[in-house]
Amino acid sequence: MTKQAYIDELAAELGFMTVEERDDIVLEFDSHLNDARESRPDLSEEELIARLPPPASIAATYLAEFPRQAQSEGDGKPFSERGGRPGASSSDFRFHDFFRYARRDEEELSGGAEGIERLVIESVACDISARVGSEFSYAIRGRWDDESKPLISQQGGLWRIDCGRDADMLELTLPESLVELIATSASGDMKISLPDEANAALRSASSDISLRCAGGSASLTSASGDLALEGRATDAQLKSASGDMDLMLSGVCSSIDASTKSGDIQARIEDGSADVKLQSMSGDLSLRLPEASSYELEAETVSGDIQSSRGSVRRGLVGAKLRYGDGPALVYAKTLSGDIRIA
Amino acid sequence: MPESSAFDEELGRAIDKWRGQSRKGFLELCLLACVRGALKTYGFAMLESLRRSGLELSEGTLYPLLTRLVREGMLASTWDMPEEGHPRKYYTLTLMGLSFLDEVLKERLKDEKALDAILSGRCANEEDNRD
Repeated sequence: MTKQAYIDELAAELGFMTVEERDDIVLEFDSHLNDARESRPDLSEEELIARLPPPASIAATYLAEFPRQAQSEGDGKPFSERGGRPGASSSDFRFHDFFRYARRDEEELSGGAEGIERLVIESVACDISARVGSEFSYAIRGRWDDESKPLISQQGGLWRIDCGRDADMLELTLPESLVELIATSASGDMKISLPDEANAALRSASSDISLRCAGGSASLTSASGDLALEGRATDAQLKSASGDMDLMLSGVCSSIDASTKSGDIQARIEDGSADVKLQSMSGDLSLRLPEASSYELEAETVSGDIQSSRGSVRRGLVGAKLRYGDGPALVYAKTLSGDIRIA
Repeated sequence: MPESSAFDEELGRAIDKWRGQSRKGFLELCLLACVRGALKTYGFAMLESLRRSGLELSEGTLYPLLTRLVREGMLASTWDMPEEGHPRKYYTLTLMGLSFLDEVLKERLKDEKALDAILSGRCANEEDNRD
């Protein structure tokens, strides 16, 4: 059996779980197989698969561990999942959260300055929200102690905000002088608007990222969070394992590259001519291109459907090629089992 | 002798049953201890380290158990996507997991001492048999 067949079979056997739970398990086995291959290069893919238990027996263990319970609020759900955000994974649960609220008062740190050029943010569970304004300012709130207090430092035009583990919310105003924003977060969500021509590199583990760009470049990476990007971007790179992606871009001038393992990708491109590359293993791709644009389009899927409103698509076993006019831009869409829709 | 083979079968079943009953909790303990030792680790590395310690465990047992420990708040998990290489799901102990492990290890040590005492006959006077 090939790795893909094994993964597909496991996903099918886990049909009794929610899509989120199933994706998480399937991705973990996929990751496990990658590790196994790295550690035993002497074995073939088939031999590595043969060492694993059959998908049906793995699914049976999950079923025994987690029989589907009544999904009513709170009932039958583990403690760690109660009261969380919808869709929040239990990994967001931190036991000490329940005590610190009783123990500590809410604190706030705030400040600002002129002439900021670069901003680096590190967050554990702190949500980050940023809007555009005339001066740089920050306000960070949470219930921290001396040890977990946020650290803010400045060196010329470079600012660094380390939110610490107990901050809940960071609010920023970003001025036109900002050139670059780099932010990393484990489970805090990011909702960020950038000033003109500022670039952003945002990474998260399980949190969602939403970015409005105004002419700079954007790089968004997440393991399981959803990614959203809108506005004008010179180039955009999005990478995720299981999160969905939503792109709404105009005036793009160089390239868009979005890839995910099991998330869906939805992209609307209003105008401009960019090279667009969308890839997903099991998620669906939906792409809306500007009307009357001239694109060379290549869409490939192994077992998904390809639909295009711009003319019939002939499907072979793998792939279909379409050409609209003789525009310089190239659109490339590829999935293993997801559907591809182009309008 | 036919009788001896029936005896072996029954013994085998009894051992399997006992193993099934006691192993689940024991494996949980081993996984938590393994995460504590590594601070932050992922499935494949745990499996390798448990196997090196002499504990044979299949992927089909490990991952469902990890999922349950996360749901119960003993472990926290996050996906990490490195620039190079593939994404991995990392596990760390929560405060609850750490406290649980400490408590249960203490209890286990006490039980083992008790068993030693029983086996060596030191408690013969006031023994009462639970079964």
